[in-house]
Amino acid sequence: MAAPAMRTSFALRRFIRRSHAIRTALYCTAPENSTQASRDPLPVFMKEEVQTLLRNMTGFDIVRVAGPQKVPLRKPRYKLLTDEELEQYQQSAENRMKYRMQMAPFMKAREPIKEVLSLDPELQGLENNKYIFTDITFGVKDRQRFVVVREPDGTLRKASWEERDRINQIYSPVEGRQFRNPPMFEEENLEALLKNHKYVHVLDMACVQFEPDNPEYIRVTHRTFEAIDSAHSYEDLRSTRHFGSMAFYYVWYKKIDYLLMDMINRELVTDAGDLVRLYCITHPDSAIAQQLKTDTASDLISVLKTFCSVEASHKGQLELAIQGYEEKTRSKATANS
Amino acid sequence: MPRMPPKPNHLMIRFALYGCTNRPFNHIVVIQNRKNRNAKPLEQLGTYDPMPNANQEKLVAINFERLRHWLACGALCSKPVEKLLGLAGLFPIHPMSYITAQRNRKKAAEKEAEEKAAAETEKSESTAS
Repeated sequence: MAAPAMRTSFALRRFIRRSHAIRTALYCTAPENSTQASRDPLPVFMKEEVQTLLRNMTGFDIVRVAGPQKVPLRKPRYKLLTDEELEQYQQSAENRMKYRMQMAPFMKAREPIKEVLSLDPELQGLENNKYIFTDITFGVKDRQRFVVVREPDGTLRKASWEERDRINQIYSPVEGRQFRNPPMFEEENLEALLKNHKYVHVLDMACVQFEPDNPEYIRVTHRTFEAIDSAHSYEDLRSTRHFGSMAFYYVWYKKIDYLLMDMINRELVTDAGDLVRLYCITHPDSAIAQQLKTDTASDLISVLKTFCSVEASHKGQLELAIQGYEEKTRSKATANS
Repeated sequence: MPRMPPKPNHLMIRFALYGCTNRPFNHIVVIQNRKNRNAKPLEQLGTYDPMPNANQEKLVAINFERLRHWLACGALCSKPVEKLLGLAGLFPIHPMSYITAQRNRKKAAEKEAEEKAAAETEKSESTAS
């Protein structure tokens, strides 16, 4: 099965105001006053720096990104190319794959729509059914489309999010999205899938089926990330579009210890450093951010050790991992010299 | 030849009935007044499904931008379209909508009163016997 169709109608263009300020401070930004639960993750997620860090962490193994393709049986085609032309083909392939690696936005759940446009109690008795009026003007985005409902009691109100999802799927269907939510997202079925380690499948299907601020999407993705954390199988998501969202989830909810350990064990120390840096950007009030503001040492190992001592919740295991890595590098250095 | 008054031939926004037996479906179209109901229109502005769906909703889709353009060109709306657009909120609610609603309410109230009276007489008969 080819990878699900890429959706271009993300919340990216609507929600972000790209800041072009060049950040001189490596680790810290202006503190935000709201509590964690009510904080909106989207502005933090869409910062240029955060996006770059997440992209670096995700990696780009082109073979993995392209994925196995079912291709119809046909004779092999040969092309005679110069070196420059070959490079051009490779570049265009890379660009196509980079497009596929777009991260789904990490948003908080959408607020229910309660706006009432008009009350007409004198229309009671006219109809026993609701009327849903949709504006099918050409060129209007799904999120901005006008969908209003006239209830049997005469109230004219804006359509709820569930009604909007249905209407948009009727009048401007997204390829791959089903009209009714597939049963795989229900609790029991989801648990069964996660037990069988089908993380990428679940995340791909969720990405196609739901909008990023749909509470269902948030529930499914958060549950999947929790399952991955318990199973420590972060490698499944590397070089996919979901790694960035996963890493940001752990950073947002302060659970990066196991991911750090995984990175250190796989000798991806730059990624580990990036993760700590991301943590500081997301939580500028945390102890590690304050510590690293004052410390001028930019050595990756010392940064990780500081994190381990100051902020980590699984200190013992993380220390072990760092020690293991140091020994490995030392033995390599002695072997080489 | 006697001079006849000009026959009305203006643009109309009205329903064109499609669908099949026991399953009506309307297109909201802009068409010359004198043309056939299902003749090829100038433009289709939307649809109206009079059968409620599984969620007890009747779906109406209207391309409001083009609707406003044709209204500006002098198109007139048929009465059902006017009623529908009144319900949508674009036009003021049609007076017949109010009147129909009132009539329905009156009928429902009368029916209820009748049923209540019938229930009462039954009850009194059963207690008497």
